[in-house]
Amino acid sequence: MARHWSLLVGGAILLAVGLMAASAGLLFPEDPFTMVDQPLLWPGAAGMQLGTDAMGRDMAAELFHGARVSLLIGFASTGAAVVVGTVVGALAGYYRGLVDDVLMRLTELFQTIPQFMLAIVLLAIVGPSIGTIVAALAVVSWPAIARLVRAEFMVISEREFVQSCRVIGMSDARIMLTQILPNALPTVIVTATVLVATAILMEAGLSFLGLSDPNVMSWGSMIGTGKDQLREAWYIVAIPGIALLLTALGLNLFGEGLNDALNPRLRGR
Amino acid sequence: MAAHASFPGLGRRHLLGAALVAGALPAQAQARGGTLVISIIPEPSSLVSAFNTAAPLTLISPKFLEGLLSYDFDLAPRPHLATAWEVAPDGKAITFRLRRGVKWHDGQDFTSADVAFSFMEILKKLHPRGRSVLAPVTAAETPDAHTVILRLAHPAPAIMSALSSAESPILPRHIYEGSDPLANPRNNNPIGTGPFKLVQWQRGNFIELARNPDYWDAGKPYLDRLIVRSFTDAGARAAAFERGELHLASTTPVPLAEVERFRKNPNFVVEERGEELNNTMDIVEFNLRHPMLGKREVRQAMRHAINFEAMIRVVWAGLARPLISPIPATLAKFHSADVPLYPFDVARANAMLDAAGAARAQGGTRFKLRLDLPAINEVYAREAEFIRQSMRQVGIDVEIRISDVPSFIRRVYGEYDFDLSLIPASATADPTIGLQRFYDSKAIRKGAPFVNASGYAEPEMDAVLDAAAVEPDEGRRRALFGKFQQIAMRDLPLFPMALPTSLTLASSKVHDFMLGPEGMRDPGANIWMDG
Amino acid sequence: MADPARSGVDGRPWLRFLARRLGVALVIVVGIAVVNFFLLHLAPGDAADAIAGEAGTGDPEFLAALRRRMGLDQPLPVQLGYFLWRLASFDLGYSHRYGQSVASLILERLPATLLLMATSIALAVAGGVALGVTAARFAHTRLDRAISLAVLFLYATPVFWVGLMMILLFSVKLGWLPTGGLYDVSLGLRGLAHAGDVALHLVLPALTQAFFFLAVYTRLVRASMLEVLGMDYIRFARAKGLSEIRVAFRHALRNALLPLVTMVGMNVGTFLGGAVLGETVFSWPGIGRLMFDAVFQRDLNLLLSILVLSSVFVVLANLAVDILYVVINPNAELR
Repeated sequence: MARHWSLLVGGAILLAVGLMAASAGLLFPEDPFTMVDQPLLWPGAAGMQLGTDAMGRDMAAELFHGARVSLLIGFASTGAAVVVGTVVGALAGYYRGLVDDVLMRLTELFQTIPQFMLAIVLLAIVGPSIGTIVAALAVVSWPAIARLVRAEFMVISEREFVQSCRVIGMSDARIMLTQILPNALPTVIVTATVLVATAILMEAGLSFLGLSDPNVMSWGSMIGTGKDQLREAWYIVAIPGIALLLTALGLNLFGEGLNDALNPRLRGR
Repeated sequence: MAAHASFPGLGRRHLLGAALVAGALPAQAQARGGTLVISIIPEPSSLVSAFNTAAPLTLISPKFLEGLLSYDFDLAPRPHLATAWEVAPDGKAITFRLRRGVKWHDGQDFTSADVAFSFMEILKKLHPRGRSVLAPVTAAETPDAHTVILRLAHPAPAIMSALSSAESPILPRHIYEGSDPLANPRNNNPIGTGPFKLVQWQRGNFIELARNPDYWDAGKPYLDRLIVRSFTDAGARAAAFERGELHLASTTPVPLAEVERFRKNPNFVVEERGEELNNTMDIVEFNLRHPMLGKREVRQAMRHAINFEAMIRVVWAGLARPLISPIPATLAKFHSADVPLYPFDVARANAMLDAAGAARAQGGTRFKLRLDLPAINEVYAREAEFIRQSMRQVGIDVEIRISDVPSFIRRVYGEYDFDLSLIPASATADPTIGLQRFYDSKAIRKGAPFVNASGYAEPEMDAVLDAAAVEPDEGRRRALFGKFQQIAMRDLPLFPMALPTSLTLASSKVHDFMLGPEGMRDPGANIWMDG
Repeated sequence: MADPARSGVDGRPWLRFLARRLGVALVIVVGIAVVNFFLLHLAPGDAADAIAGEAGTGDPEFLAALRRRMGLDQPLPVQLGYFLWRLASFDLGYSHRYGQSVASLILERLPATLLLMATSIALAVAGGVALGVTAARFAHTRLDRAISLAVLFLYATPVFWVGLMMILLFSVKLGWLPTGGLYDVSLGLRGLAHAGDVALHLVLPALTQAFFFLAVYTRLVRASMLEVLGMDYIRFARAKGLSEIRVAFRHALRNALLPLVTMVGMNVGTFLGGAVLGETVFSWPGIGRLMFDAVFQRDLNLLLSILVLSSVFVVLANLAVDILYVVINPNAELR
């Protein structure tokens, strides 16, 4: 069955990547920046399963430690974006009127500034580090969640069970938190998984342009430092690129599978 | 390397430049014609290097605008727009005889008025280095249309090393006088005396130059056209070379790991000359205001902890020279090997740090430092990484901060908010111009970039530097700089790290592009291509 | 609720609609200009520092004089005032770094980005419609799943990585296509030959950019068509005896066009902002890379102008989409 397949394969990929990240400290206890051997050894040479990069560092160690950073940045920034976006969208979708107008104009403002450029400008201001990259990506991603949550809240707040809660005098906050939010959550979660993939890819793009934290290893920075060696040692670019691809793929598959599982009326799409 | 060369133009000797035509004698018969494609990265912001000494401008400006002199590989001056020169016995006047029959691209005559204007109104006021190098110049007299006399407040031997086309271009007075030179549209479409004129400039894409048919050196330039492209990616440059899309490039022309491959390929030539006027090296400056870094023993210990040979191998694939003093060996005129040395010795470094009171804490760390560097290229990042790894071995925890250039300048020079800073520093052809700014206590000015930010103030050093700046006698000057190097390597307010090998890659069809230390920064009149 | 008989190309609702939308757009664009202005001023260092950094030297008086010329020594509100005033008179200002007007800089570089955008989106739409229709036609078969999986791969792949791999394969190893740039000026080609050279240089960048959009459009078309193909009026049409293919195309595709147009509109609008990666990998002389460089040179006039231009682009694209929506589907309202 297609829906099980997506969920399973996606989940399996994510599990594998998650294991990579979790086991990085165990399998490769040394700092991945440590220069262990000759530079530019091809995978398989001298016992280095994935070869060494331009500074003689173990590609396998870099890959595993990089998984940590990429996943951390992806999930943390999306988490923050979800929190902010949900608050904004909930308020706009529930109260409507002036609140909605103002919040939506604010959202539109952020959405009209080119996403990637805004991230670049923000990082130029504060300098790239894990914390600032997470913050910049969150700032760039929250509008999409806000829009989605707003739409959900608008629809759900029209439903009878919500109306009846109002009638019996439940406070707005309780209605939003206990009645509407749980119903809106599935859609948000599905979107969030895709957003994580987008965040991971954006972080890779920023690293490629040189905007990465120089003190940690990420897949994007591996590609950025490896692009000068594209001709002879293209595995330095290929390996983290494939890792990025598979992770994003896994997240998308998982999201699709979740969507099919949680929204049965859309099955058959 | 060349032995200590005589330095004409100084001391009690008058020297009249030989009537040599600029340019060496050719080895083969030159072919006329052809279109040469060169790469300059990043794309220059304008085409005149009189106001901005950024590297790309120094590569393209000389094609349009020339200087009074050029130099040979011994750094001895050769005639260019000036055919003869003499320095007065007391060193307070320099007389130049100018070449006759030279015309500007718009047909007007090149005269001494242009030279006087360029020195007094442009280079002395607006050129980043000219402001200090030409500070002693009080007047530029023009007794006739082909003679200029520079009057100096005191002897300034460094001036004679700073007259190349890239460093001190002569601008046309009739174009720049009475206008705001920095905003003159001619900065993007120059009128010069040079061998090439601008045809078109498509920003981000290419700059097209064509032969100046009225160039003063009859028969030259040999090239019909010159195309300048900016391939931002080193790998793309390598591919372009192989496809014949690119013929000539310098300053990391291809990724360092690929240089060997091109060297072995008979279709290409790898040149390592061409930087002798610049001598750009990497240095790490210390913020002596930091409690630990303020101690000389700590700095000396840190130097013992760096394996410079390994660093050159890993960071530059072997394509760099080690530095035992701030004056590189390639500047043979002033270099001295009689300096304190710091062989790689981790045990000794640890011992020295223990003795200096920097005890190890629980995790093995003695203290933390931040290493700031500007986002220039991958090689810098690797170098910083290597430094970090080296310091780990002796218990110093280094955090790397890569900032974009404006942030870096503001943080390091505007606020002194740094511990270590890794920067490129051009020693140039004269230590007074290139190095004094880092060691002189008078150079400490908050907000001034690329000068003494360490806070180093050593009266002994100041005295040596001040004396050397005005010493007209060569031998005495050299001795002074010898002392300078000893003090510099004893006190170590900055670490000279390495001198990256200058690399110019050319297709074997291209000839006579490296006739002197100006390298790619010369006007290019002598370059020719196989038919 | 709008009276269906009154919708379409009738005078007054359109004028009101346009006036409202443009009014809101103006507020947003000005808001963006102001926000970006303050944001950029938060960045440490300014254009004078950037110039000093490039030059490798510079004393404080020189830098101070430079700042005075560029107007950087004025208090912030004054600088903002100047900027907005200039913007109102459509004067985008002067770039001190490049020594020419911002308008001329943008006009020089914009066509390259537009060319890339038009080509890659056109390719993506053509491919997306073809693949989406095919996938919908053979829904839930192996072909459909194969297409969906392939498209998912394209969606998940980092654009710049694909670009590098394509350069590696097609330029470096095979030598079929150039490594970058807009065209090879040293060849001195004119007319048709020149256009051919540009086309050759356009292949890799356009394909690379197209991959991502292709994935999005294919999924969109497929999903929309499947949704429509299951609806009542389609079953009705089938019952009336129209052949299956004509049914699919005339009704389902028309309905799938609506979300596709919306998506394309969004992508066109945001293309300017996302172009920097592709332009960097392929040395494409466009606006994206110009914008990126301007950030690190703190060339505020240039950067703000491009950001404002980009926002205007987005707003206009959204507007065009909304108008197109009504044209395609006369039942929609103008809001």
